[in-house]
Amino acid sequence: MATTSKEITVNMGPQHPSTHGVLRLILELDGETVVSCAPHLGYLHRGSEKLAENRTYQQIVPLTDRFDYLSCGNNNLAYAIAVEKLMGIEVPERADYLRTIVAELSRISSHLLWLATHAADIGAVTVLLYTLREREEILELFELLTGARLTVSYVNIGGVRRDATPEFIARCKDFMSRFPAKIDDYDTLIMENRIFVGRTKGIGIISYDEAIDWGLTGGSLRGSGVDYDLRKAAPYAAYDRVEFDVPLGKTGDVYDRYIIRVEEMRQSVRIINQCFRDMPDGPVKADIPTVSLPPKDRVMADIETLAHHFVLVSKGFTVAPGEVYVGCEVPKGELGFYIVSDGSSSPLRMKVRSPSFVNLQCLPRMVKGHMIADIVSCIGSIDIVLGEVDR
Amino acid sequence: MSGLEKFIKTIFFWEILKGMKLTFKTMFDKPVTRLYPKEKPVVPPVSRGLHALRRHPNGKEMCIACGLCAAYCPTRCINIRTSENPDHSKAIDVYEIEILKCLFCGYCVEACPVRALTMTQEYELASYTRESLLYTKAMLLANGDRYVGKETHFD
Repeated sequence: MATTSKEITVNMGPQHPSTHGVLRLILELDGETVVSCAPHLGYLHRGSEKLAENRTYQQIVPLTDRFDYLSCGNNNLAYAIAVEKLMGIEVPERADYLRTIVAELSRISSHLLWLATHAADIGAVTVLLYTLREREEILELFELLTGARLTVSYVNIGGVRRDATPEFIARCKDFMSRFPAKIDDYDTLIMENRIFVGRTKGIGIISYDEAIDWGLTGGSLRGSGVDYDLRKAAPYAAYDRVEFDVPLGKTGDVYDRYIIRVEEMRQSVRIINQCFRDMPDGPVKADIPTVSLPPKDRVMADIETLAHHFVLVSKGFTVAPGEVYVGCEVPKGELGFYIVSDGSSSPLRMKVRSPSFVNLQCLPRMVKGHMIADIVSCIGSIDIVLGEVDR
Repeated sequence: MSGLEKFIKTIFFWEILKGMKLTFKTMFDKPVTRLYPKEKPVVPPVSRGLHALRRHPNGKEMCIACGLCAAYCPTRCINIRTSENPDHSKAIDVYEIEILKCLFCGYCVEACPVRALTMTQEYELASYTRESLLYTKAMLLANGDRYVGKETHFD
């Protein structure tokens, strides 16, 4: 009896555990080989860009927490820098360093969760137990500094919301001294493991030129060897004042993307240590009365400040007409905010260029010709968060 | 790595042994997990938990019903209705926080001009009904009374 080869269509997701959220893939399979793959998005769409049009500039900050909910500090920072550029605000130096510390702590916590889920998808569940242990410590540090564990809303327009306490600085420094040894532990668990290597080396290769053509950013781009990091290319916050290396991959496969993200965590530790060394004393909010809320003690003491506080809180500050685009290097890639202002206290339009969304476009190209099980390692390697893909 | 070394490492599962060594080492570490309902985590005073309304030392409510917290709230989850007292002062008829809509961003606390509204370290807010998560003025004042003399979230 002759067998006929026929392609079948399989629906993967949106409730599949290794699609990292609610990603749905329509797969055309020839046996176990993927012929084509089409991602279907929109299951987590909340209309954040539209919501932003009805909020004052200040009220959008908690909204940005919900894009990439694993690295909220970075989202707040990107948004705040965009508004500050539009308004021409200078941020105090101490605030710049605190922003950098929070951004890098968020990067570490995001990469830790990525490593946990990526390894667990491939079959090494042990790593999850180790990385979540350290992530918990970072979340506790966030709670000590900002008051919240996950949705920090810490970076504000014109500075940060509260100064670092000596307790936070001491605990963070202590954690930073212990953390590099923990990264070595993760490497011990999977870096040379033959199953992990077998399932990641040579899978989902994206060449140097292809990575640029697809518009990849972040770890997915640098895994292909393209030396492009916005922290170096267009420095913001205190990144122009600290030293760090940008790790680069060679072949652009899943294994290279894993190696460089782990190395990025080591560089983050370097950056945070330098920030603590160089951080000056001083204010953490820009002294611009039209933007920053006055200190509470003065609000309660004199009537002019109280009246000013009322106006600023109830109406929000206005931004001169204009438009701005600012991109920041978040753990996933380049998060960009394009804001158009019409002179009122809320933006006319806010477009978010989310790195996960752009990087996800590359998935059908990555998985073509591979086995169905390799889709899981490819999704893991581009490090998507569906909150950011759908916004 | 020489060919022989690589061969020996391959047949004896060297990298697996290295991983298992870490596992056995970790077995003697102090556990990092908590037996949650029995052992509660220590939450720092700056933590943004359930809201509370504070009182003056003489027992009078601090809130002046200015409505700034409601105006500043990104999700508009605070509902205030006021009327006039016989002595022409402002009376609060309704002060509600819909905790299900709340983001716990702490902007209301920043907005309060008299430090009447604060956030406490209460984080166990789960409930079986939606109605019980509409926090009224009495509930918020009662929460404030629990935190008299303790440090809470102020901006």
